[in-house]
Amino acid sequence: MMVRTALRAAVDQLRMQGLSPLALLSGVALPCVFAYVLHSYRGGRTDAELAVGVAGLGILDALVVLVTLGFLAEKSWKTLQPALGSPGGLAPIVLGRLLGMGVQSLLSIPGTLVFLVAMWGLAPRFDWPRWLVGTAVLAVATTSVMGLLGFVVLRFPFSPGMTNGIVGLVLSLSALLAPVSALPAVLRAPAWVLPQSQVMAWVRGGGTGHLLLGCLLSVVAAVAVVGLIRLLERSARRQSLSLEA
Amino acid sequence: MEKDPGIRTRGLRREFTDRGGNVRVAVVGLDLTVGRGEVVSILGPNGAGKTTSVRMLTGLLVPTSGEASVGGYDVARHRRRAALACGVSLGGDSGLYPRLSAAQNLTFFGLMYGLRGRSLDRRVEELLSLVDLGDRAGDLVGTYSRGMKQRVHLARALLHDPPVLILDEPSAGLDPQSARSMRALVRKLATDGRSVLLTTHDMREAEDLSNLVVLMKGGAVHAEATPAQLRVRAAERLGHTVEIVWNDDVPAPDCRSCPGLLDVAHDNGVTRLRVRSGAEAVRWAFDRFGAQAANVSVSSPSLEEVFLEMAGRP
Repeated sequence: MMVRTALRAAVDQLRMQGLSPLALLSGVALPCVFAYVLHSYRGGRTDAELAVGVAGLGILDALVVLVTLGFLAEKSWKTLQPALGSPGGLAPIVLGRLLGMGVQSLLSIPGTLVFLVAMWGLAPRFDWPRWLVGTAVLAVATTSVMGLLGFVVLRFPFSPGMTNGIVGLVLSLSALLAPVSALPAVLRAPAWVLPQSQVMAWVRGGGTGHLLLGCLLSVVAAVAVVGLIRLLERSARRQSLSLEA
Repeated sequence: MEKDPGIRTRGLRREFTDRGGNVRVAVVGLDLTVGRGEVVSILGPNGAGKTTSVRMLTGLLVPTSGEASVGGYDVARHRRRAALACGVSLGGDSGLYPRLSAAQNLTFFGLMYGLRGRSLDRRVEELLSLVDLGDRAGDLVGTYSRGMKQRVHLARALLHDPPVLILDEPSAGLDPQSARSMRALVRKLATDGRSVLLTTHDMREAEDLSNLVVLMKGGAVHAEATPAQLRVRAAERLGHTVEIVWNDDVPAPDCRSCPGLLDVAHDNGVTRLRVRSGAEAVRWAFDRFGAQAANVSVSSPSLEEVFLEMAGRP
């Protein structure tokens, strides 16, 4: 029952927001601007590392926007109350929506690659397997991490005016996806906690350990999200937490 | 063995504590039973505890103390089973996905309650026809009027064919014809053996549908009786109303000598007397004005008057 509900929530997410102009803008147009900046420091053609990095930024930007606006919409439609009262509670609906948003963010992968190739052409020995595995794991990792943002949006009362603030704050996390060696010393340790950083390190030629650690950190984030949603349900029922905007 | 009633609460209590540590009691020791085939209405002014009671029964809020069961299942210990036994329509403009069609909304909610496949599709189709939305099933709910959304809410509550229904103002926003159909449907659902709990501000709806009316105030039950009993009891305090309609060419005569008179008002050829004894006043009116009166009728206080009296009493 819960799996079917979650899958339907994912499909309905695509029905409702699949062609949202804001999602397209954040998932494709914004990272293409980043791509122009990044490329000017690299020169030459599009290699897998640049392609994965730009796609990763697109996935992150798209998810920040989708998670914030999508869950705020649920709160304003007051659809979380019937979900809370249903036998499965909030978890299948929230996880399903996150899954749908993760699928939506996949548009960044071909979208950014087409842009990069059109602008600078493809490197002669483009590493297709690394690009494919890297972007797929990045999408999963980013969706897991953005589930934490989803909890924050659902748990705390945001006014529409504050929405821009939280989006901007989380978007600034994009900076942590830059090569960790390029970050100030104080940011290096937290950057390695993000599964995306580990995946990017693997794409840049790091050992398989980075990829495995990226997957493990993604699972940890996903488990934390499930736990936080259960905590949210508990708070809503015990403290009469408002799930409405 | 006696069957479990649809809804039963015993000493149900809910407190809220604010950030300063101050405790506010929203519901105080609610005892309520809704048997199978019964319709019970909860009436009360804003802040009476109706919504908090409903939220506890529907698993949205954990009681501070006391017991509540729905369909025979304790709402705190067996929340999932209690949820499956209960259909809830909180009504209003919200609570549905505006960017999905009515059929898509119902399919999603049906999955939440364990329905699936063709049986779910058939159920959605059947219910949309039942609430007269069959021809608009594919339209986005965001384009619906409030009354249409209200009907989708009722269809959602019925999706899993629950033995208990909790309905919040089911005919709010409906035109008179649709409201009548909705009331007929609620009556039929109760006749089929379901337990129905209504919260409403529509006194006519409560009077028309309910086997029992529960008046709440300040979180506690203030009175509990059939609508007729409530009106008779109120008549002992408020008196009866005798209405005399005068013939066209007759000016309203002086009625101050009517026995047991509490109040008198004249309006457009009609005199309304509020009296202690309706029967005695009617006899007096016939004896004195038999030829001048076109019609004389007596009524006990309406449920609205009962409600207003209760709301105003300390």
